[in-house]
Amino acid sequence: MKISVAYLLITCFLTLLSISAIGQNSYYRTDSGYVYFISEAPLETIEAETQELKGIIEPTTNKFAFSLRIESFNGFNSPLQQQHFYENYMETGQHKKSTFQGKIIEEVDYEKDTTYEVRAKGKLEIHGKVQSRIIPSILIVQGDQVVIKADFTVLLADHNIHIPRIVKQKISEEIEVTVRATLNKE
Amino acid sequence: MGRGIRAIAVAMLMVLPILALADHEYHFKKHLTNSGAQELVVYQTYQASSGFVYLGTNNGFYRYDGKNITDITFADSAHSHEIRAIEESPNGTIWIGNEAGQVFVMKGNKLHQAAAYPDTIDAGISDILIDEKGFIWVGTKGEGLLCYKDDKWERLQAPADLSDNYINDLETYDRQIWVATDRGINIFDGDADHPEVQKITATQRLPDNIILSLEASPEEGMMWIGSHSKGFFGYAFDSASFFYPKAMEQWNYGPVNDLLAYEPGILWIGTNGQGIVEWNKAHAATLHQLYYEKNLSDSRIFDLTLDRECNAWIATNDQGLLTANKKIAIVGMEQADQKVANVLSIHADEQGYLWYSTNEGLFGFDPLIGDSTAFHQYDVDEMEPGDLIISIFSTGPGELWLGTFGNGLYYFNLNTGRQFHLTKANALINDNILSISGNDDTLWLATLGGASRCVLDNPIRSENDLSFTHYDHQNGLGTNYIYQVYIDSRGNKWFATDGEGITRLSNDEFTTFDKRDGLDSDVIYSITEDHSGNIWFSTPDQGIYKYDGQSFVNYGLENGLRDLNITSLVTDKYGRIVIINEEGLDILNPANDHLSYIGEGSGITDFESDLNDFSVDRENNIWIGTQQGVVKYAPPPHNCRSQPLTVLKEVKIFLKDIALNDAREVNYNNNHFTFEFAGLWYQGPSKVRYQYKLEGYDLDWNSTKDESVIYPSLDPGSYTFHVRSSIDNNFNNASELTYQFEINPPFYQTPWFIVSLLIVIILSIYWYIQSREKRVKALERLEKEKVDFQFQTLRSQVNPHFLFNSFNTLLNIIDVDQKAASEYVERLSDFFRNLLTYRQQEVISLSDELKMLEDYYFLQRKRYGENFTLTIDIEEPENYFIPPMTLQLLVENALKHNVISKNNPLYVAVSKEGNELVVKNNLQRKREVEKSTRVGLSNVLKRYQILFDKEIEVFEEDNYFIVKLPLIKN
Repeated sequence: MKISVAYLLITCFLTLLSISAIGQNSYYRTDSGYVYFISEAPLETIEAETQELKGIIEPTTNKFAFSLRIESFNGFNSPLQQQHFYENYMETGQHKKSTFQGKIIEEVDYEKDTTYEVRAKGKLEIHGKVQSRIIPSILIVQGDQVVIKADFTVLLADHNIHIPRIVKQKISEEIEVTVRATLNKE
Repeated sequence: MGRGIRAIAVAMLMVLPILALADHEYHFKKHLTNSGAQELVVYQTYQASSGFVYLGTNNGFYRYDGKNITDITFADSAHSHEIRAIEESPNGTIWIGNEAGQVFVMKGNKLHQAAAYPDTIDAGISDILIDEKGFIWVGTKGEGLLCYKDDKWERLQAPADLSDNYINDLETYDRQIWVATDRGINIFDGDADHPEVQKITATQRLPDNIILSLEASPEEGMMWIGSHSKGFFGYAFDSASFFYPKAMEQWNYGPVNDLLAYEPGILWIGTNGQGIVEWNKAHAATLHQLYYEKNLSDSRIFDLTLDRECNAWIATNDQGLLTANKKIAIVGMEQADQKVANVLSIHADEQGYLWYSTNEGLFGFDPLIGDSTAFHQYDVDEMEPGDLIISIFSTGPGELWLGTFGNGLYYFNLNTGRQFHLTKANALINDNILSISGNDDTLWLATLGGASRCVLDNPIRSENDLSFTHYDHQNGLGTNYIYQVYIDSRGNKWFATDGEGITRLSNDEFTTFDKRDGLDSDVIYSITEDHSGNIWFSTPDQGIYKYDGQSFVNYGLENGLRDLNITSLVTDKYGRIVIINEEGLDILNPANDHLSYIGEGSGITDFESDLNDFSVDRENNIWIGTQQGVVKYAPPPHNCRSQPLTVLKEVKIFLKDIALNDAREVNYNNNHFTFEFAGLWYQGPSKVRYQYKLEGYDLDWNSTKDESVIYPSLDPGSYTFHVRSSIDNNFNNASELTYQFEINPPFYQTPWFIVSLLIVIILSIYWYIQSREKRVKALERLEKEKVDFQFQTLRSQVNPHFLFNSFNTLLNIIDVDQKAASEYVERLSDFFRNLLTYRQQEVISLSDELKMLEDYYFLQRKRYGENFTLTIDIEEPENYFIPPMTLQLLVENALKHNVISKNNPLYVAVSKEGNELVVKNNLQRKREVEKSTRVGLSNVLKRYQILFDKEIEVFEEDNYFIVKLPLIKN
């Protein structure tokens, strides 16, 4: 039951951050971040998007946590493709969420409206398998808002996502992910 | 000087494809292809001092011998079997760290949790480092740095001790501990008791804060640093400054996971998804990716390490575990089906450009270019068809000297287009130019008509700028046939001659060395000088000679040379003598006379090369022209192992492992020994052959391919097991291993046992003799007693009284009752007959005794009548024994000592009471005792003692005299 433990942890972390935020520090938060992915393969392209990315950044420590419900993705080519994606590849029955939590390596001045190129280092959990990743991102401070833009790839093999042999030609071994989120100061 | 200028000067006849040299620089080998091992993902490799390579994987920790892996398991349970860090301490203890943040120590073949290690570390271990003082540094992924010293773990954390708690790598250089973190580099002075940290971050103008890897390169005085986003750079300790290679400016290979200083000047960069990128200091602006089956370019490199054979170990995510070893590169050139073959001569010029000639003419190529544009054919206008170029030399950029076989020398300048032809007719001593040596100002030509010195008046515009001096037999050269002119480091010129040995020109004076000087060959093909100033010569069939200024030393097959068909000698950049022969290259280390070989295993077959058909380029690579094409030999660093390392894996007694360190003495019944060994040769484990010998058992070495040998029943004794390994069946310099043990003899063969056994035997013999003597003495005494007794008895029986009394009694009855009288006489004679019969015997049956007693009673009864009564009450008297005459004697005593009358009748009773025979009479002592010898009773007493070791009881009780005799059963 590793998965639910991880889920519990992230929930706790989010809660803790919320509590500490209420205490004294401000933090940035969103419930409606945008995530888009595309997997381009010769025979079939799979793409989908969601607006349900939850995330929080604590400016004092530069720590962050993001969480995404996999089944919130929509916009597949066909309902059948969506079903395959959920059931066969992501196994959403067992692995409901994907998370990314860690810290921002570069120093960011949240008081100043600037665009930063930062690297977010943390643990990326997809399909129940955790990988340590450093994801280059654009972080824009605009008044009380922080905008996050990140584009990265995920290797299926890194997250133990197994594809049946025949389908392999269809699905690319890597997925390109795009994240756009606006976090509000609270 | 660019190739562009050359292109103007020459006609490019054809462009042939050339195989990219980079592909061939390294010999790749894939490991762990056995079933079972394939599943493992190796994260970390480490060669321990024992020679074994240890593997940290996603599923455990393993020892690897090149063929098989041995699982090193946890003594207790561990939280994670993902091993990310391995390090050996100076005392040979191996430490490992896992993904759960735990640290273990290897003891025997088990992993034990490190003592006193804090259990609060909640992050994986990224690296372990053990410094010169033996302090253990453990880097964690988010929990800072741990340092173990004085039996305590000290924890160093940001922000006080570190700039960041996430540690990616640890490295040591010159007693400093370098820590690569997510926020720059932290440096500890390992000498200080309380190390003060020096933090280098972006603030100190570090190009990238995330430092993933560090690699110390003491030979270069450099710490190489790999970053996440900005590639790699170095820190030079001499100048205490960062060094940014030109290639870093256009770095686009992603994060640098690991770095390897493959050899001075060559850095391997392990990337996170683009394989390995090689950077050569000599071409600082260029980088090239290494290929292995065309796939390594997508690989994520987890780890790069160098072993003692100079194999680079490459742990990848998708290609498994690989090793790469520098090998001989064959630059094969193909067009249609025609291979470039029969390279007559070769020369590397100052730019690293390579010139070579074949029957087809003059060619050149740039080894740095990996495609067809690297290769050109050059046309020399002046040259006549059929001219064979057999020697090439360059004296400056694009300025070539071409020696032919039979048609003199051509000068050829690519830049100016100037050419001229020199022959015997206008300048030379001979038209066969076998080799050219010298420098930019002076050339030396070796010809079949002597040697020539040619001084150049640079720049050369025509043949008038050359001035020749010729030397031949008449000037002092041994002979006119000269194969090579070699100029040594002192400026002496050495001439390799055909027929007169070696000639030296020193200060305008010729000296010829031949048989009288210890040089047994009068033909010398090739000359070279090692780094100690010794001059080496090769001969056609007698191997090579070393001349140290005093005498010549020969090296032949018995010294390990593989082949005597030696065509050239050349010294590599580490001072080793490279001997080019038909088997390949024999490489002799003059420091210790050890040889290593390059041959078939490197992809070479039929290594046929002309005399002195080689050239050394500016990077000290040796280029050799052969029948197969051009061969490049880049000497591996001098400290690379060139022979397998022999190790003992297991020693078993009755197929059960024993610890290698103890049990060197075993009992005689533990005499079934199995030795498992290996010759560690990771670049080609299947080529290893072994020789073993059990000293004390085998007389000679046994050869085998197997890695184990069984000795099933060894006699007690002391043994030494020797095993050595080789890859070419030459065991002369092979690494040898010995294991000494002793089988104790069984207890019955031990000296102490034999001595004590002897003592026991002697004692028992002594005891036997003693007791025998005693018994003999006792017997003698008994015999004497018996004789005494018989004498007494006889005497008493022939006591005249007894006879008189008997005769009186007889007289009285003879008239009255003749019948009774004759019965009396019969009884009397019976009694005396029995007396004579039994006296010889020691014991008689009780019934016989009683019968005699009855006779006696009858005789006495006639005398005493009713006044004497004897009663006998014994059942089954035949079951018992008694010394003869005992009872008769006792009864006689009773008659003797007591008053017998009508008023005082005597009653004697003989009866059995329990186990005793009781003789009892009523006591009525005579006043005057009949004179007695008093031997009777005591005689009985002694006889019982001697015969049966029993006492008899004699006592008076209630006016009875009682004698109790023990009953003796048969």
